[in-house]
Amino acid sequence: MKDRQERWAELERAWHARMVAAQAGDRGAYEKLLMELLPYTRARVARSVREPAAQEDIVQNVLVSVHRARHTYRPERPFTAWFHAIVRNALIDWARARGRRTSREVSLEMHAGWEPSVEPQLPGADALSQELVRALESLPAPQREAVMLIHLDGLSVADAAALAGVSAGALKVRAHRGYKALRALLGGRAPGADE
Amino acid sequence: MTEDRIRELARDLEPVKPIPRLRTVGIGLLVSWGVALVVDVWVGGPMPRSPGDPVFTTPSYLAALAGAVLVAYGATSAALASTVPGRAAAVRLGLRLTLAGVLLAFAGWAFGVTREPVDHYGDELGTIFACGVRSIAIGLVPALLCTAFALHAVLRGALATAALVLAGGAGLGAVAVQMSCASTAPLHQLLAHSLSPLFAVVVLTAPLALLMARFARRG
Repeated sequence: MKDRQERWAELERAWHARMVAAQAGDRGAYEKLLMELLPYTRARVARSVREPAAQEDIVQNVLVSVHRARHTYRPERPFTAWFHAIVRNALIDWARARGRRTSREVSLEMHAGWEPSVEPQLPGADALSQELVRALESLPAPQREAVMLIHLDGLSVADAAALAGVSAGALKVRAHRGYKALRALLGGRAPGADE
Repeated sequence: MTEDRIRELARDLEPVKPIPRLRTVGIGLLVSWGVALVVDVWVGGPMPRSPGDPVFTTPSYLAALAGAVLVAYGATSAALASTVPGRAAAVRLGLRLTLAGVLLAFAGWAFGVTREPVDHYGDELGTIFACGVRSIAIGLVPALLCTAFALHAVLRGALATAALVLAGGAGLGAVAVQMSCASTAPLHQLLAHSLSPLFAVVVLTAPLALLMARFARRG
């Protein structure tokens, strides 16, 4: 524990010195600082976001934000608090943008006359029985999404809710209704039917 | 790919001057407020009360004055801190002080109408409106300076920042008006002085937020 604290204190001193040098225009110190921040940023972002493509986008946004906001760092303040606030802001921005995208998406169920030109393929359908695939396809889209995120993709309720753009409670309700419908369709052999 | 981006950022690096301390900016805002007060008196506004004025012993008056000071300090510090990464604690403290200021103003009004001899001088709508406008006008000078700082730092949420900037500025205006207005009526003090930051927020937040969003740096 003490070693960890000492290591953080050492990093704080090194990053602080490099940031002060970067504010003065030292390109070498700046590149070194950003390269050193990179693994910490990746680890922090990976703790909050599951999608690998989104993770790297957020990491790049963090680095650009550090670049644009570097004049807001005051040398007498801790560097790590300043940096973590920027990472947190980038995560919040990503979540908000994602929420906006989700709210703009229109459910295909609202357009009953529209038919896809090819048969939809469920991810992981190869591993599922045809009977289960048919049962899943017959579920309403929100219930199908909830069941698939939790049982096929193996996400936690919190992560699945974040991905679906709904609260954890709402996702649980959708999943529960999906299980009930599957159980009825498959005669008590549905995944998660016991939950 | 990200490593390439880092090398690009390092290649484009230019020296920057760190933003001033928030305390220094606060002092600058107070100076601009003082200048606005001088201009207000110069154009015919009333002089501030003398320190020996008996109204300084009236609880409802003091509560309204302290409430305005808390709103001015709290909202301004929250607005400034919200534009600097890593100052979330200062933002929270500022918001709490603002809320405390509003509650204190209401408590002062309630105490004034129930426990003190009620004075209705200044309760007319026209007088209330005039004092409210004067509060906001005096507060606009520090509010614009605060806006300039927000635009120079890192703006996050133009609407919220604009609302805080206006509440803080009008709070400073309310302090000035509370210290110079002839009326000691609790209703007048509440509506025309203490609540002027709220009116400023309702009326001016949208245009100021648009202005901020137009000129802000992104970060």
